[in-house]
Amino acid sequence: MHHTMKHFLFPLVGLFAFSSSQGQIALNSGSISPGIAALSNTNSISVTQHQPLVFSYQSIDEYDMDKTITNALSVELAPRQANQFIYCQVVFNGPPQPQLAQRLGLKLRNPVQVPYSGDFDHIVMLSTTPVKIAEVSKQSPGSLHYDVLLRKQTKMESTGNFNYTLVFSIIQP
Amino acid sequence: MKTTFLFLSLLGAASSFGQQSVTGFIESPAMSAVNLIASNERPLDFSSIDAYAQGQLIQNYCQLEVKSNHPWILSAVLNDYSGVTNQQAEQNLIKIRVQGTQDFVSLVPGVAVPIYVSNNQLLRNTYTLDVWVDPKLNMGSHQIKQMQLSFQLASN
Repeated sequence: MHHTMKHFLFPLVGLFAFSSSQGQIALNSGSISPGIAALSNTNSISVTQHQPLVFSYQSIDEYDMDKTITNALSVELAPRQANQFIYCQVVFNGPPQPQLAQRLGLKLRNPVQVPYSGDFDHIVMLSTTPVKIAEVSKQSPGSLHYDVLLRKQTKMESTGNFNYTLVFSIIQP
Repeated sequence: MKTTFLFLSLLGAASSFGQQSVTGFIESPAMSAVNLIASNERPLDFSSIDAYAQGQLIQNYCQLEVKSNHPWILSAVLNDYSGVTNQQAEQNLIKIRVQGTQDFVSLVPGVAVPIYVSNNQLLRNTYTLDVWVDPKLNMGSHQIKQMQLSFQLASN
């Protein structure tokens, strides 16, 4: 019997090591590491995409205007607990595009406490490093619905086609 | 048996908590445009000998708005609709200058002549142009010329 227990403990240790390395690779952040912290919790986050997250320009004048994908995605946490923070980070396939990333934003469609005072209309602009997009409490709605924004462009940036990923993470300090 | 169950539960939790991602696409082609937003067009009268000798400077001849998401070169093209074009004789007839720059650039009929190169990263810039018309070596007497200036952008 004692021999059988030892046999199963080895795969468990191996699994923990695998989970930890996945979190570090996916989050590639500086001093903030919400993905690593999340591994110490049992909270889960799920993101549902409702619209294609595609932006395109048909004329130079369109660069002067903000673009919005309405009700683009929703984020759900389970279970909801006090002081949970949701982070979002933009990752590009290929070279990083920091200027382009900073023109991407999320606009919350339902009211919830937002992390920074002064954020107009619950809009948080994103970055190539994790940005705190919301604080969630037990009283918050089950799903947070977001528009995805692409702010107007005022300066020259790289041109071309860019595939991007929005990586959502959860942390409970 | 109990230990086996615990192992499977951990496997499920590890794959769901922490983070989730969605993917998207941004299509941002190279684009540019130049628009005339103000003009000070007027007929020029060289009926006096002084005007003929000195030429005329038209300050604030026109204002252009350049929009581009990549570096550019602005060129001017002089089109002569007078019926008779002598490219060599007319190449000093009309000169143009972007305000803020030093020298006038001589235009040549039918040829795109670069007059300005983007020097900042702004997507939208506005420029005011001065035009210098100097007929004394380039036009005979009793001659009326109808000329048109057009502007074009090219990638730099």
